[in-house]
Amino acid sequence: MTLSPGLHAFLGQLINGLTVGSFYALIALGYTMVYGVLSMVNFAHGDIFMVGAYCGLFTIGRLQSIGYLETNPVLAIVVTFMVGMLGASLTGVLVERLAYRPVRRAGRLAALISAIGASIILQESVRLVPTIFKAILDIKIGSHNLFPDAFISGLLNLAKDFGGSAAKTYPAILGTGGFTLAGVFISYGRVLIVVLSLIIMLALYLLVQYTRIGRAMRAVSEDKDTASLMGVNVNRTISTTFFIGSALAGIAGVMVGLFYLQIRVDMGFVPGIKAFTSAVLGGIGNIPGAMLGGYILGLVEVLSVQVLPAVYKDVVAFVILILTLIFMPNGLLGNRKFLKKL
Amino acid sequence: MKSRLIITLFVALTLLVSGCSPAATAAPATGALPTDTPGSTSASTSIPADPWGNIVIPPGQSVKVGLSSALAGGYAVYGTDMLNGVDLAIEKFGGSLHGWTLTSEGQDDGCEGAAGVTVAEQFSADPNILGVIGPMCSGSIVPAEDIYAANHVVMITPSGTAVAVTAQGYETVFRTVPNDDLQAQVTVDYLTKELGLTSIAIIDDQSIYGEGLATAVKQKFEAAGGTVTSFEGINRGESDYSAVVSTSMTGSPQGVYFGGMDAEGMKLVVQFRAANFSGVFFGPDGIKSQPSFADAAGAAAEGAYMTFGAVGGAAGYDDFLAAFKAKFGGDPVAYGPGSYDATLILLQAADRVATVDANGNLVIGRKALADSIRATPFTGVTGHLEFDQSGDLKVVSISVFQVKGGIITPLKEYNFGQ
Repeated sequence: MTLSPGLHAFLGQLINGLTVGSFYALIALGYTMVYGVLSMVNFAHGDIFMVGAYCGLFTIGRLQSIGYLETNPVLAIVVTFMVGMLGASLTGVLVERLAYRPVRRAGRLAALISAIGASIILQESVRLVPTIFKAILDIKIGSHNLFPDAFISGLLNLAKDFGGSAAKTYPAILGTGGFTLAGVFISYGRVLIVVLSLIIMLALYLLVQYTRIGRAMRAVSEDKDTASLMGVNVNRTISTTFFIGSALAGIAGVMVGLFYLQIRVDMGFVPGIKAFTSAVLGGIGNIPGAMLGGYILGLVEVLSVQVLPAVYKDVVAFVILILTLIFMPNGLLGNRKFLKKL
Repeated sequence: MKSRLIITLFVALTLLVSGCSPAATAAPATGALPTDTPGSTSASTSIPADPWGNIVIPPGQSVKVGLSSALAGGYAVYGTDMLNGVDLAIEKFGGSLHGWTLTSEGQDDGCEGAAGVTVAEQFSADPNILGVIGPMCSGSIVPAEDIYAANHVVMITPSGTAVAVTAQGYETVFRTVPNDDLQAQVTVDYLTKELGLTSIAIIDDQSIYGEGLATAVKQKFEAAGGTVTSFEGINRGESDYSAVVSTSMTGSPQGVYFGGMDAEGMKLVVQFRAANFSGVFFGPDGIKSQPSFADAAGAAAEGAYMTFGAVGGAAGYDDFLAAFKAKFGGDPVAYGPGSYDATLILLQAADRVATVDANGNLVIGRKALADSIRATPFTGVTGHLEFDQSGDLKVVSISVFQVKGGIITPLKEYNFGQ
């Protein structure tokens, strides 16, 4: 089958846009869920995504060094995703407990400032992991090290793998293989990302709509006090929301590592803002809206490169944010009162 | 009420913090340095007055070699390699200058202009800085060299290749690498004559370095009769370049040239290969990194070409390599050897011009130091280094490398200025 060059290019960009959109959608879900239950923008969410990427890197690095990645790559990747998810989830829950719960009744501004603080703390903590480890291990009693030498060098190596200010790379295991569909080459890596994202989003939707915990989340988002009177444990529900939203960010973090290879401590900033844009575009507080917004933003951004110079990609994304806020502040699927529906 | 108070406090604090730091660092850049007071050292009659003032280091203090490079972020592999080169050179030099302890001070400039200027202001204000190795990137050098020149601080960059680096005519600026005009010439020569390409797509990272190179390659490739199918810019530090990859491939080019650094080069080569691009991938010295380009991209990097101001083959390189491996547990990446040579050039020149005054201070004339660097040829591990009036090398060579079996391997050497 032969396609006209224009259509061919368009289809190719469509695939690119779906991949980028998957990342935005996964991260946007975390923003929107938290907004749903707390009516606040969790600006530390991009950094939770970063923590997920680093937890995944640490895991895959260990699995590679013991040779498990070569012998059993599929299981190794699954374990990497699990650890990335868990690391991000626990971080998210911790951030909520330490940075948001104490200021929950202190107004939106306090929560916003607290979120920015949490974001900085997360970034700098990951950056400083090797330094902190070294400082602790250098503690001496008299002229002797507190810890034995072999233990120190082992632990320092682990810490070096985890954080630090230099960029880190995932092993390139997804490869560049793929197949051609209607004249457009699609790599297996892209298929993995798009399919996995869609499955996860479907699972999330089902969880929120049809399970007990999902109903509790919807109840809390509608009215915390009433939900509490009806026997819903509000604090636990909020923690669960953070846990799930952060897990999605963690998955996105590991996917970025596996697909784009390089990760940095400041990697969460731009995707975080883009995902926030997606959430606003879809209607913040609305779960299907965040997914839709993510894919629309990804596609528009990528397709803009067909007509505009590539460096204006971010401009396009943020013009969308501004236009949405001016002309359609409720977003595509949001309703008048943001909190009505989660 | 309470929240208004918080906002006011927050704003006041922000103003305070942002207001303080530039003032503290910017002041010395404009005025004369406190130690640049030739008059105060007049107690000694043997110290010649230097038109640029002297570096005066009291006994017991250390003499510092500054390094301005990317020590954090995406390009840290290059910057750390440079710091290793400086440290090894100081060790090789014996660790002291006329009895004063030598230390290195690495500052992170992130390969960016603004940070490069901040580092330049910091180094210029530090009375113990002998000279500066770097900045690493042309984008930092071009704005920072004004400050180094105004304060008469010698800077030797082992990696800044943009033509603009030595074009401002400063007497304090030196570089130990060929410029990008030559690099582009070698690139186009290899693309057209050795690989026989007639069409390429060009991508650059919008930096002074990358855009300059890409533009030069475009001009020379078209002058050689080739077609440039697309010329695109990308933003540094992003993850997804697939949109640019797709637009670059629409013209069906036989090859792609990328003007930029390892972090983006690695992602681009992976994304080009993942888009089933089977043509040539060619880049500059900014991607000649075994760990952060060839190893990081894995199979996708196989067959990729890059140019680099030649290293190796010079007498003493093997000894250097052994010492480097023993100290840092791995091979130098790119500009480790160049930084080693640049540091030795600086230290040897300082050794020649340094004197001790009547108060026991180490005194180094700033102009005497720069003149001595320019006047004295040096043979190091990267070859014969002799500067011309502009601070460029008189004789240079550039090699083309290719990733073969996962290892960056030299293919062909081009010599200039013989």
